[in-house]
Amino acid sequence: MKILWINNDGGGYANDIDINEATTIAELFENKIPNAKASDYLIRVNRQPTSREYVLQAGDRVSCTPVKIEGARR
Amino acid sequence: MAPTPAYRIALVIHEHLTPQPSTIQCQELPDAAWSKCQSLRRQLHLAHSREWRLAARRLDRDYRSQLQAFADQMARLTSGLAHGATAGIATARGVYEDILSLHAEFDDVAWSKLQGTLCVTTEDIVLEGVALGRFQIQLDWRELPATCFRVIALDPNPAASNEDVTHPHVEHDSLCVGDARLPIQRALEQGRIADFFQIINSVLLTYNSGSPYVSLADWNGVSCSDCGDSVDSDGRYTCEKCEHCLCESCYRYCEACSCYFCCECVARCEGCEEDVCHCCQQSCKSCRDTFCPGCLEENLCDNCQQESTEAAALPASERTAGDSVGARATNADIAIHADRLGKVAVPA
Repeated sequence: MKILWINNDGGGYANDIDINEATTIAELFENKIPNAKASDYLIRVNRQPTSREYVLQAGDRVSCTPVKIEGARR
Repeated sequence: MAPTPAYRIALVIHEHLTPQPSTIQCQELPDAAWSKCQSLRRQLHLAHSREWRLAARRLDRDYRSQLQAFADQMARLTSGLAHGATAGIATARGVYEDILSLHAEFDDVAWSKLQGTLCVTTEDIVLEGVALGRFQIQLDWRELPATCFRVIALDPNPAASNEDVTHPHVEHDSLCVGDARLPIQRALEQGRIADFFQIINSVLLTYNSGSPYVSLADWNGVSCSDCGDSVDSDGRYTCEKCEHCLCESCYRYCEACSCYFCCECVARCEGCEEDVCHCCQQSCKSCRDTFCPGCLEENLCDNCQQESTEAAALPASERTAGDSVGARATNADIAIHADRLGKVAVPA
């Protein structure tokens, strides 16, 4: 099934991706951003806060934004 | 049912996001930005050639910033030509849902159709124990899809050395987004308004000690290590050797290495009387006084060199005559000595 995956880390992009049925948010996160802690990100499903156990549905919009992003001087 | 105010705003924002082919073709080249770059470059060259160091630093900063602005405008222009379609851009409903979701993420959400702005207010921001207060993130949707926003301190606690710096990464209400530049650009190009505000909020909640306008350690002021006065960030110098902070009145400059020092780390050249740092200073091999490299020739100062030259220029006969006089005097001395003077009788 297809969902919209938005990753605001690094370059920042939004893509339609295929995932297996019954994939949870935790599984998707581990697959897409390996070696990262979920607590370092704001994860929203259809613009709402969610839980690790949430089972994704076709057409869901999942966004992932780092809690900390370094600014600069110029 | 009549559309809600939020939906009307979403429609306006969506309209700005959707490029019209005719407008893409007619977009003007960033001539003004380029002219400004050229002008700043000329001024910078002039400042360097006349050694106006403070002006050169300021111009250098402006020049870099203007170059970046020019590059951004060119990037938008080429991006617009390449992606002139609406693919990937949020629908008006998507923008509307984003606006609604902001209420759950931020304390206050407001917009002004007149000013073309959509604003959210952050929570109180405290970084490394420094309370910076709340900030209003103000997006100007009339400039969309270009990145145009301001970050305004609502309870400002600016840096002591620069009241325009209200956050380590905010100066003149402008946030230097650092690592967030691309995600912000993409979010705005695609109309992901909620993502845009969340990314900005994440930058405001993060302190990058490697590149702040004013470091949090110095937030409440830095004093000059020589005179003790408070030092403005623009007029701050650091001693190259001991790394002490110095004001514009106290810094010393070593011409030989083009570096700044404190008064403890330089000596006065006995020749030109300019400061010279301990690394560059040299001693005259004859008089042993301290000089800068420019005042010594073959390890001799001007005075010693002159003496040496004068001595070498004396005629040989004078030098010989002098020697003869000396010899005669010695003979005379010997002649007037009493017999056995200085001799000791040795017992048999």
